[in-house]
Amino acid sequence: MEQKNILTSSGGQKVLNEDGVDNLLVVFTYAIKDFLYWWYVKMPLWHLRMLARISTLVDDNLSISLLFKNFFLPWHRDFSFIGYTFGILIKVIYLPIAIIGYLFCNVMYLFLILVWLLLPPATLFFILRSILNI
Amino acid sequence: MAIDYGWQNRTLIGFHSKDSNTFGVVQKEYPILTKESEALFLLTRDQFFTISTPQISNVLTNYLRYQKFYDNLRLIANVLLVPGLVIAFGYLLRQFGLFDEIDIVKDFLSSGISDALFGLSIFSVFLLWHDYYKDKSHPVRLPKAEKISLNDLEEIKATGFKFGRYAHLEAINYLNDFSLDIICANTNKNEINIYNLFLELVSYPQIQEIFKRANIQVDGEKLTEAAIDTENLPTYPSTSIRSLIIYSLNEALLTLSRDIKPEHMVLALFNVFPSLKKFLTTQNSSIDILREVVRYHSYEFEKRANTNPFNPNVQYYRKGGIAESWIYGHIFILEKFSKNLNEYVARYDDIFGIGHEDEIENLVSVLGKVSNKNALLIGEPGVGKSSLILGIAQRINRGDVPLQIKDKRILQLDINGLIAFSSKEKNTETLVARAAQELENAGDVILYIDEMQELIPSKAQDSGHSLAGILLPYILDSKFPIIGTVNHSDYKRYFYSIESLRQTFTNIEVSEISAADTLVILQTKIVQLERNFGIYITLPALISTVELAQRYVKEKKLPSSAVQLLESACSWAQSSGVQTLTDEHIAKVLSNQKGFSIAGVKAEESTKLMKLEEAIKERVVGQDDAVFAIVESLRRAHTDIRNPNKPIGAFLFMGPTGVGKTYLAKVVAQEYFDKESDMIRVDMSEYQEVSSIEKFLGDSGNRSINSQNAVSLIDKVKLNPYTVILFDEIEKAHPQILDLFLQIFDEGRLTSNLGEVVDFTNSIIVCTSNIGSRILLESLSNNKSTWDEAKDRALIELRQSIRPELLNRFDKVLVFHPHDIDNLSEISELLLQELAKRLSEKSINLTWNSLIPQLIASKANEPGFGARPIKRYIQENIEGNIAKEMVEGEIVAGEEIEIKESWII
Repeated sequence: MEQKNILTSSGGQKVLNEDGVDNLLVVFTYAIKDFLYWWYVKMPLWHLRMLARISTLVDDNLSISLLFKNFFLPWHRDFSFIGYTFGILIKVIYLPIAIIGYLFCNVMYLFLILVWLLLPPATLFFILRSILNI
Repeated sequence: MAIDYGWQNRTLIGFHSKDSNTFGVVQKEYPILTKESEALFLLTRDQFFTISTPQISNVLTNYLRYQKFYDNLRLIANVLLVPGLVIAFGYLLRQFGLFDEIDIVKDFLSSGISDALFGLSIFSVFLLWHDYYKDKSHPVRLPKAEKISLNDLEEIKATGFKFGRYAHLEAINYLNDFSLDIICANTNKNEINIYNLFLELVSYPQIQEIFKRANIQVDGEKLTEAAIDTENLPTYPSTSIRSLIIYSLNEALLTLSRDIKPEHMVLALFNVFPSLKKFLTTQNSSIDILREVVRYHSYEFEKRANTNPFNPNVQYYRKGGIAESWIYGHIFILEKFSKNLNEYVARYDDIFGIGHEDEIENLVSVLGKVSNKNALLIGEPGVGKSSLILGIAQRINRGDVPLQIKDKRILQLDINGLIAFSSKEKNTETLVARAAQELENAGDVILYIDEMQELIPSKAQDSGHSLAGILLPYILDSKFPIIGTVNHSDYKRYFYSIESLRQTFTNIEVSEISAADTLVILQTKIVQLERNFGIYITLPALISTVELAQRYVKEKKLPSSAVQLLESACSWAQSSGVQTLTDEHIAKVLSNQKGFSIAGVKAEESTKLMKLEEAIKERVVGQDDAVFAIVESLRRAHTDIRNPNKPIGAFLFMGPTGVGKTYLAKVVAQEYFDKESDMIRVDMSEYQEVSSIEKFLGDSGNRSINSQNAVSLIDKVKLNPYTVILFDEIEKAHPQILDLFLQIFDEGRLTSNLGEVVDFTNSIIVCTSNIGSRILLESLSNNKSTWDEAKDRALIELRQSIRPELLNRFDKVLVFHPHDIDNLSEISELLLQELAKRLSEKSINLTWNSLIPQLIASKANEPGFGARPIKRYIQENIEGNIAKEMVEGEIVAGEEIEIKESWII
């Protein structure tokens, strides 16, 4: 259950008041705080939830945990020697490939989170360096 | 039958005064509190919402300023994007050496200015992204308002509520930006102008769409007509915004919305201000309809939002993935005569199994058992047994099922396909054995057998196939779950006697779903029907569909009856060029189907009913009390006040022969149902023996050709339930047959020998009796006995002959007055008028002087025989003479003839 707090903090206390709002600096500070809070607190948590979702999605679509749970079940429930052997063989070949895909997706997203965190300071650094170079 | 929309007991609005330290509950009237020391709050089962004056002043003071700041920020960011894009394009071209020759561009792109501009435009992208996505990544979501138990409600009303038991939430945080904008824009100098607020709200496109769906016209002209102005919607101090927000929050919670939108503010205004409520009434609408439309819009919005698997705010259910099939067995043989319901439902947008949540839960628990995991769904046709199965398939597809049936597929056995396939095979037994082996091996199959009675040997014999004997042992000994469906009568006939079958299956009763659930089902079909038929469906049309189907289509159950009615109406609308389907169209389509004018169809229907008493009195002489009683019950039926589970009316007419008992029934059939000839008349003297009960209920069992051809009362009422049913001389029927009337009068239905339920709720039942006739006739000749005394004595005689429990169930027992000479004269006049009408069809104009009816009455009067001798006398003396003169050629077409006194004397 999510609540937004456009004008109040999470504690329900007023962030702004009638006296302060006339000052543009207060508005500007509030906007920066709001941006930073969103970029560095809310969104990283959101990204972690997204990582969990992607992890579940990839696992589900590649049937990784399902195959692990039923590793010793024969191929299409053909309870013969060939069924058992073929089933295990296929899984032994398939599962490492699926796990690599799974890890790749997760690592890529973790990298994306890192990029997300670095983007604003990196951009600011780039702007400052450019200004200094003028 | 009103639909229970489920608004009740979900929320409770209360008020608190700091001055007097009092607490109260808002019930019928919705106050707008303006004093700072008084405040409204809202309770749900688990939450407690409040809003304070500082929060309002904070919003009013700061919100627009912040909006303005963000507007400017957005503008600057957008402006910065343009040079950023140009520079990015330049960087790209520079890589290809395009600017090697153009020094000025080359220098600029290498300078710190272009880099700084580029950096700023990248930063502006972050700002715009934050601005656009912050509400989407973390959407506001109001909790679901679960029903508050009656005990808790009573406790809260009596003693207040325990603060610590509820989660305290601030209502202001659930207002969306549109709502905040509108509130701020219409508040000036600490006053909110409700009239302007209302006008602005109703001009919004999304609100207009809601009005259109609710079939309500809201424009300047209509508002002026309804006198909606600043007097009705006055200006309040800005502290009153708290009340408005609490009422809007209430609407948002009831309509299952995520946040408080402008449409909830509109609902709140309609609910709070009596003038707006009245306006809805003048538009044949109500707050319930408007609220239901808003709920439908919320539902559509949620449906769209819930489909993205990459949205971490939406629950994700595992589906199995690409290698799921590896762990399950093949079904090569079974595939040839079965349908995969999981694949079938995946192709449709419809939501199946609505209203059967309890049954689905039961079914899932049966399917998940270790042994004996077979379920038999028993229910009347049309209650949604198949839909329930499709609902489970849909949930399996979504993954929204317990672990026991996760990743299962439901295969529907096609018995006809199996019969056809087995005819090609040499050895049917082997085929069935292999199919059963496949099912057992597959490990993920739930077998679904519709109309399961087809596999019971005794039924299969009737159907002429021999598969049942082969298949049944596998079913009885199955190692895979089986779901079967059967209706009640077939269950009783084929399953009840086979103990092993009853032991193998767990019975799950599937009952008819509620009207509210049916409405939800119809709502899920709106988009598809509108696309298919190219029409616009209003919500009142859906509500009317449910109500009328429930009331008039008794031969089918909800939701099937309502869905079919709606589809018929859509088809009719398409062929008739109707663009917008309304409730009147639904009533019209049903009227056409039933051949009977449904209440509320047309205005002239009401006019007809208003004049019904006069119309009947014009034709029935001297029985004003009886006429009044009948008309009164018809008026009740028309206005939907009557009990819908009983016949329109049940009357007992007493009186001697010839006083007009049968005739009144005929006239009612003609005047109300427009069909005199279709009145069902049952002579109860034919049912004097106890054995005749079978004849009364329709033959069962040994159906000889004669009995199959005989049309019983049951058959007649099934064919034509909208009529007058006359049971003549009920005192002559056997008491056990009279006992059947108790069910008809109490429940409006009768169960035939074949188990069919016949509906009497749209019939008027009239019973006649000659009990006490002698006493009533004597009162005319005996000066000692008055009419009232005679009536009382006749009624005592009636009570001695007919059991009190039956007498009590009549709406009215009416004693018909024997006709005196004046009545007989009037009847003579009426009969002559009827004769004149018949002759006028042959262009012969019949006239008579005022003495003729009196003369006929005095000549034909035979005390104790009522009006019948008059009819006979007119036939013999007047019709006979006219016929004679016509045959002799003395009267020809176009002539005028006068009744001669000599014909009568």
